[in-house]
Amino acid sequence: MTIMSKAIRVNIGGKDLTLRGDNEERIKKSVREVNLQIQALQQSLREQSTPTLSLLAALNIAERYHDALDQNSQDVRFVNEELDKMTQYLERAWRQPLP
Amino acid sequence: MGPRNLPQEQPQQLFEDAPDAQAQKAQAELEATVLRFWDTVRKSADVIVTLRQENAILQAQVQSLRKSETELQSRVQDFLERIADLETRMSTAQGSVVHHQEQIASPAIAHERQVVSNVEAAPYQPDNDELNARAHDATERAQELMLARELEHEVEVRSLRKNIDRLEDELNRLQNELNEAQGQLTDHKVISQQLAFVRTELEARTKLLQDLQITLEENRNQRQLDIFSSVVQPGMAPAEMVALASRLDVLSGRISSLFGIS
Repeated sequence: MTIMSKAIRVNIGGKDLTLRGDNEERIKKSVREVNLQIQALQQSLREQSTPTLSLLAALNIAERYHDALDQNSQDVRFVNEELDKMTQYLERAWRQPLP
Repeated sequence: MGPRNLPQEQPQQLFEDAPDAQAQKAQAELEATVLRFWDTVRKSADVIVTLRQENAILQAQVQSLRKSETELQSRVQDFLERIADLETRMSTAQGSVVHHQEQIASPAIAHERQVVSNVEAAPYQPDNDELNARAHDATERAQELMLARELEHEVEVRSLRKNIDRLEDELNRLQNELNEAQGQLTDHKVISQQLAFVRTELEARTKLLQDLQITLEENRNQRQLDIFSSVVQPGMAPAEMVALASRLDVLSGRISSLFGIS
């Protein structure tokens, strides 16, 4: 089945853009987060230009992305450790001498 | 659960809809899921242990049942062999009893058979009186036969009792003889001891007698010499020697009479 991407008109940092994507809701949500990031930077860094604010916003988002990746790795490691403990627990129940 | 950075530690808290709150919610869901899985694992371990215990019990019961089955089979086989042996012995005993009864009752049975054959050979006459008479006669004969058998049995019992009494008398007599023999044996031992003592005494007296005889001979020779020498030597008086000799004779006679020595 072919998913038809459609054109989505958005405004990022005061600039109108037409994007194409399969998940319009997700795209709009991401655009909203980028605009919020830029607006927050404009309030704290009033003397900076729009391209600079856009770069800082992109840097913050990338940093957040790596935080999410690290957290995901930690979660996967945690689940694996718990599964190993469960396996050992079941092994003991299976092999331990009966009273 | 892996540590997560607190919201205030994030470099920029600028995202919409509190992404850290979402991460914390996901973390809580993950922890809850892991805890539920732990509960399932613990219950599974309990089930495993329970199943292992039940399996061990069942294995022990199977072993016990197999052992009991073997023992029961051996006992059943033993019972079957004993039953077969008893059946064989019973059939042998029944054959012996039948043979013995035939031997005992052969004259009476032959007579009864003769009567029956005579009755069967007689022409059939549906006379109730005659049949009743025959039945009465047969009953009387059977009763007489039973009485005769009882008498024979009583006679046999009496004969056996007589034999038993005779055997008891014989046994008592033998017991008395045995007691007497034991008494004589005891007396014989005492007499043997007395005989040994008397023999010793006799040997001593005999030796004394021989010494006296030698002394007597020497005295006689000395007297014959004294006739020529006119020297009187001290010695045993003749009367004393005669008394000693008579005592020895009496003692010898007592010994001979005591042991029957001629």
